[in-house]
Amino acid sequence: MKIAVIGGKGGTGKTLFSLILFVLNKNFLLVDTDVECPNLKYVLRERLKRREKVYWRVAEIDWEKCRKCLKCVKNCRFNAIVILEKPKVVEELCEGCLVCKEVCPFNAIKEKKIEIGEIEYFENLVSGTSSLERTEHSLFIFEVIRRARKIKRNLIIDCPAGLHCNVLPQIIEAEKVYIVTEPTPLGMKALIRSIILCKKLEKEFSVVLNKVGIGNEEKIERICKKLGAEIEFKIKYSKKVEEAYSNGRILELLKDRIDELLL
Amino acid sequence: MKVAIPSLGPNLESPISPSFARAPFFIIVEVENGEIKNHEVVNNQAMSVPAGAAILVTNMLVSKKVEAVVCFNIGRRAFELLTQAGIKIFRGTGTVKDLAIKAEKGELPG
Repeated sequence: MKIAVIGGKGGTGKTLFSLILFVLNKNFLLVDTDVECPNLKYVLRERLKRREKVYWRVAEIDWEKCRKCLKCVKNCRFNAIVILEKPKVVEELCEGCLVCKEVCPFNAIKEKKIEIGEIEYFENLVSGTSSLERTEHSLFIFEVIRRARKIKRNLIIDCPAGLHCNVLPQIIEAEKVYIVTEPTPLGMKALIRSIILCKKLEKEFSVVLNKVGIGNEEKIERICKKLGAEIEFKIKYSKKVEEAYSNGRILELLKDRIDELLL
Repeated sequence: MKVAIPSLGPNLESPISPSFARAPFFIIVEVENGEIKNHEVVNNQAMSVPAGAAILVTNMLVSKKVEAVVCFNIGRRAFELLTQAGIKIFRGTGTVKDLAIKAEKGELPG
């Protein structure tokens, strides 16, 4: 079973809820797919077992063979080919679909191997870090999930903030999605969009209301009722959680006092 | 000199656009000795593409044989690509007409 924890807005408690799920179900493996800045490894503080680099391909144009017909430029869906003296692939935008290679009449386009990220393996965590040059991470995230799946069948996938390409692979792969929200206006807006997204992708989902006590919870409850979503967990706001986060002792706190936090 | 200016409107009196690659229009002005000889208005196709706006704009400017651009702001990728393509980059604020003339006289900072 793969569980994705999404949130839309940043700082609603996706990582906290992933850790709560982890404490409640020990046979799950945590997967950090916030590939631009993975942070679960600092919270868990486990010993690194091994690292693995992940490679993909981009197109490269051989200027000696190129006759500047510009078919590659016209067919590139990602606008990744710029015309200088001759067409040149901008690597950070190329997705490696190789349509250009198919359409090139002069056989001037080759594949080039590039590194798209690195996966770190810990005892209870698989953490992906994307290469700095990449702007598009979906392929890498799919690969992180695929490789984590080889270690354990049950995954808790911690997602980055936002609802764009950086969380779509996780939602597509998951069987169950948890949407973490907070009782604030921004939390509410992100919640609505998250629910619409999960419905569009036809995923089973439920809502986690974090930071109960800081805002208007009834409003979130009303929205959930209206959109047909169920609030499965409620987490009380506590300053202790923030302190424990800053000290890197959140896991210890959750192990000791999880009953006090969950309502 | 052929100068391209990202613009908010489709004529010479329009103000320069605050964004470069995602400007609604590009106005390509031919200036000689402080006088405007000719101008062409281009609807910017790159305005609403999901990715690669800078590349589309660079390709358009290269195909129109533009020698310089004036911008208010410019993204990192557009800056790098225009430099690689040998197109000069000036900065300025005002209307398209004034900026084109100033750029030709060399009165704008690079």
